[in-house]
This record gives sequence, C-alpha cells and structure tokens, in this order.
Amino acid sequence: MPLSAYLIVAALVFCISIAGIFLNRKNVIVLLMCVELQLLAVNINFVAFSHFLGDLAGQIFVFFILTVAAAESAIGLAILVVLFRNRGTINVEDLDTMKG
Amino acid sequence: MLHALAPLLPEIWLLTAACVVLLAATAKRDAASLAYHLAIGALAVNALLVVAVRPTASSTHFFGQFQADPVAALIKLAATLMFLLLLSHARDYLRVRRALTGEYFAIALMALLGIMVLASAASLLTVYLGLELLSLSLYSLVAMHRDSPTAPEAAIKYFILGALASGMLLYGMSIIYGLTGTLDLARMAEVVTVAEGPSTPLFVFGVVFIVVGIAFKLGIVPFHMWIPDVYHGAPTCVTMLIGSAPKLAGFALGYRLLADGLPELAPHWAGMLVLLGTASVVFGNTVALAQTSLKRLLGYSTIAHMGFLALGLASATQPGFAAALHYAVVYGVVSLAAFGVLIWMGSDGRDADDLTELRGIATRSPLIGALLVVIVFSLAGVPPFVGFWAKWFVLKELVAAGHVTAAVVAVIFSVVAAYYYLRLLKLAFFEAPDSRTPVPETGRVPALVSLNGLLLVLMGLFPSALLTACLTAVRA
Repeated sequence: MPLSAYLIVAALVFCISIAGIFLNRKNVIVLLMCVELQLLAVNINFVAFSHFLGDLAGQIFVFFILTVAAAESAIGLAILVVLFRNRGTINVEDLDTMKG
Repeated sequence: MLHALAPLLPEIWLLTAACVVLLAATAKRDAASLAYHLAIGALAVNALLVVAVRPTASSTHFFGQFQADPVAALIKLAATLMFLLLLSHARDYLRVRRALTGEYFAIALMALLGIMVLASAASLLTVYLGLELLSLSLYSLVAMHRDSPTAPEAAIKYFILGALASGMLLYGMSIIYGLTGTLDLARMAEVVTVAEGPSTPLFVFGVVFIVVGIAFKLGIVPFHMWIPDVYHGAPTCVTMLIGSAPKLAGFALGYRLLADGLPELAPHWAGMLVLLGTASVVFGNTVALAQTSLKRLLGYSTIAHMGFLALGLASATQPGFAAALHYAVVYGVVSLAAFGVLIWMGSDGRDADDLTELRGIATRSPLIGALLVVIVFSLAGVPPFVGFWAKWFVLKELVAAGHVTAAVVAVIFSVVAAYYYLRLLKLAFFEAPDSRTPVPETGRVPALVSLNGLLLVLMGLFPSALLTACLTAVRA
C-alpha cells in the first residue's frame, strides 16, 4: 500500500476526533475519548512515515506518545472524578458557571 | 560518562528533588511544611547549579536530544527564581485556607522541570516531553482545590483544550517529520533549506498545525478560550503560577520549534504570528474593558501581552527573539507582583476577586497603593516603567522587520488598555473604601511583594541590563 493510504486514514481519524470534540455537547468522557483518538491519528502518521523513510526515530516517538497519553488520560479521569463529586454531573452543557 | 551528563545537572537535581519532596509529603507530622522547606532548598540549589553549568556557546548532549545554550540557561534561571517566589506565596495562601498539602510543592517542581526540559530541547521528542510534563502538572494543580465551586470546572476546560492543542502540535510535528525525515531540530533546519521549493505547500501545512499548537499554549486569539476561565476558576496561587513562569515556556516552545527548527520557513510562520499577535492585542484589550473580576481582567490582559510576545517572535530576527524573551521575563515578573497583591489582599482567607475590593485600598494600606502604581504602570507600559521598555523593544524590531501596520495597531490598542489599567488606580486612590480596617502590612507576603515591586522599579530604571543579557544569549 502506498504511503498516502496511511496518511489519508490518519487525517480522517484526526478529523473525526476534532469533530467529536466540537460537536459533542453531552458527556465529558466522550471528549477524553476524542483526545485519545487524536493522538492515535498522530501515531499512525509517525509509524507510516517511519516505515517509508526507513528511520526508526518516528516509531520511538510513538512509544513516548503512548506513554504520555496514558498519563494524560489518568489525569483527565482524575479531574473528571473531582468534577463529578463536586457537581454531581459530567454533562458538558452544565459546565457554565464561569462567564464573561 | 559523568562528564557528558554535567550539562544536565540542574534537570537531574530537580527530578531527584521533586521525588524526595513527593516522599516528604507523605510524612506523618508537618508533611506540608517539610515539603515546602525541601522544595525551597531544592530551588535555591537549582538556581546555583544553573549558574554553575551555564554555557557560553551552544552544544548538544544526550544523543542529540538536549542542548545547552545561553538562551536555555537564562530561561531556566528566570523560571527558577520565579518559582522561589511562587512557592512562598502559595504556602501562605494555602495555609490560610486550610488547603496546604505537600503534593502542591512536588507538582510545582515537576512543572519547573517541564519548563527546563522544554527550554533545552534539541529534538521534537524533547519539546513534546517537556511541554507535556509542564501541562500535565498545571492541569492537576488547577484541580487540587477540590471543594471550590469553580476549580474543577476550570481544570477540565483547561485539560480538554490543552490536550487538543498538544494533539494539533503533534500532528504538525508528524507532518514535518515525514517531510524532513528527522526529529533533530538542527538537522531539520538544514534539510528544510534543501527541500524547499516543490514541497513548500506541504511544509506550510505542517507549520500551520505547529503555530496553532504554540498559539494555544501561549493563549493568543483565536486559541485563548481557556485563559479567562482558568485564571478565574483556579486558586489564586495557581493562577499566579500559570500566569508567570509558563510564559517563558511558551517563548521557549516558539523559539525552539520555529527559530531553531524551521528558520527557512520564517516568511510563512511570521505572517501567521503577526496576524494572531495583532488580533490578540486588539481582542484582549477590548474585552478586558468590560470585566468586573480582577482575575478575569488579568486573564484578558495576559491575552494582549502574549500577543506582544508573539509579535516579538514574528520579527524572526535575532534582536526580535531577544525582545520576545525580554518580554516574557518582564511579563512574568510583573504578573508575579500583580497576583502577589491579590494574595496579600486575600490574607484574611477571603479571595479578593471583584474590582470593588480595590475601592480605597490605598487609604487602607498605603504600601499596596504604591505597589499598585508600579504594577499598573508596568502593565500599561507607561515610561519609564519596565512594561514600556518591553513593548518598545518588541515594536522596534517589528517595525525593523517591516510589519508597520501591526505595530501601529498594537500601539493604538495599548492606549485603549490604559483605560482599564488606570481605572484600577482610580478605584484604589479616589474612591471611599467599603471598610476602614487596615490591611496588614507585615509578614512574608507583603515583604516579598514589596521586594518584587522594587525589582520592577529597578528593571524600569535600568532596562538595558536584562535586554543585553537576552541579546547576548540569543546571539551566542
């Protein structure tokens, strides 16, 4: 398969994740899933480029992205738990106490 | 081997110290106090180490991942000194509110480590890791005040938008990696020179994502949405942290990626930054006019100030980068003083957030009144205060780089900004106070804020010292 096939898939996944973040008005967990999806799209890009360039650095970068993504979702879910205890809801539309 | 690790000594020290502070935070008695003292000691040693290993020329270490150069050393030293002040303020702020925990100091040290790694990054990998270490620490600091009605909401907004920005930045990095075949910033700069031409549109495609990522982290229009809510919602000591040293990291991010990695594409990214920077100065200063909350007002003023920083980067010349670095340091010191006054006014456990809290504050505490004059004039850019010089150097380089329209717009909207800045002084000096109780003027926070104000006055009177340091660092 040509490199462009991988890049197109990655671009599509990236667009889906961005659309998910901006269209979703319901649940914060869905936002976290979208953020993860975005990082996975980047990973596809890096692995594809790395394979076609014959350069391993890109694949090593992917390991780091995966590790950071794990830490990131841990912190995201922790904040979510704090938010739920504080508010009793994780609905995106209810996050509007601050305005101005 | 040990010799090769010497330039990384401050980072290694700080990582060890952060782990020790985290352990100390679990002690049975006086854990928070122990963690605080260890953290302050660690920062003092860190400042000495940064000075001890400061390089005179640029060199790369650790398999091309880490570079030691004077710009990085300057950023690290300034950030470490800012953190010394930040942690002392935070201790008093949190103790009054019975929210003092040792973890705060451990996470703050991690944030500083993130800034230092980012400042010394020599490859896309190190840029990303430094940035994430800083961002993840900041998200959790905002959320630490669990019972506050606003902090968790601010934290989740900050987290989602910050993660989105990191994703954008990474996507741009992956495109640039694919085009150049290297993660190393110095090699990337060489490859771009050769490869430019037929593949320029693709490079610009990647650069767009990188600029978006940088703009999000700096908080400039149209990627500023998180700033007002996070500034407003976070505990004041955390807002103070977000508003000062991380601006240096924002500069480092732009400088490393754009100036080190993609200098040949300067015409493209400079154009984008001029647009975003001018829009920020216009938008931030206009919306700040309508604010009634002090922290939100400072948030919108940050958006305008970061617009100036972006304009400095947009000059894409060495003096331009020096002016931007100078701006970041100056803004950090000024915002430390501004938030320091807020913490001082809230020393009775109540958060001073509404503009009306400033009413007649100069009669309740003449010292706060004097400090407000220095801070407000510095923020507004009235000569001879330091904020004027910072703006002047940026505008000078901007005009020299040929962006005259942007410079004119920035000047006009700095004058507009004077309205809401001077209104703070009007409230403080010419309105009757709501209560007659004097604000206490003794203690650590008043002493530190006064010291900070004195530093501002000195920086305004002798502006060339810091600028020369920035210029020599960028030129080396």
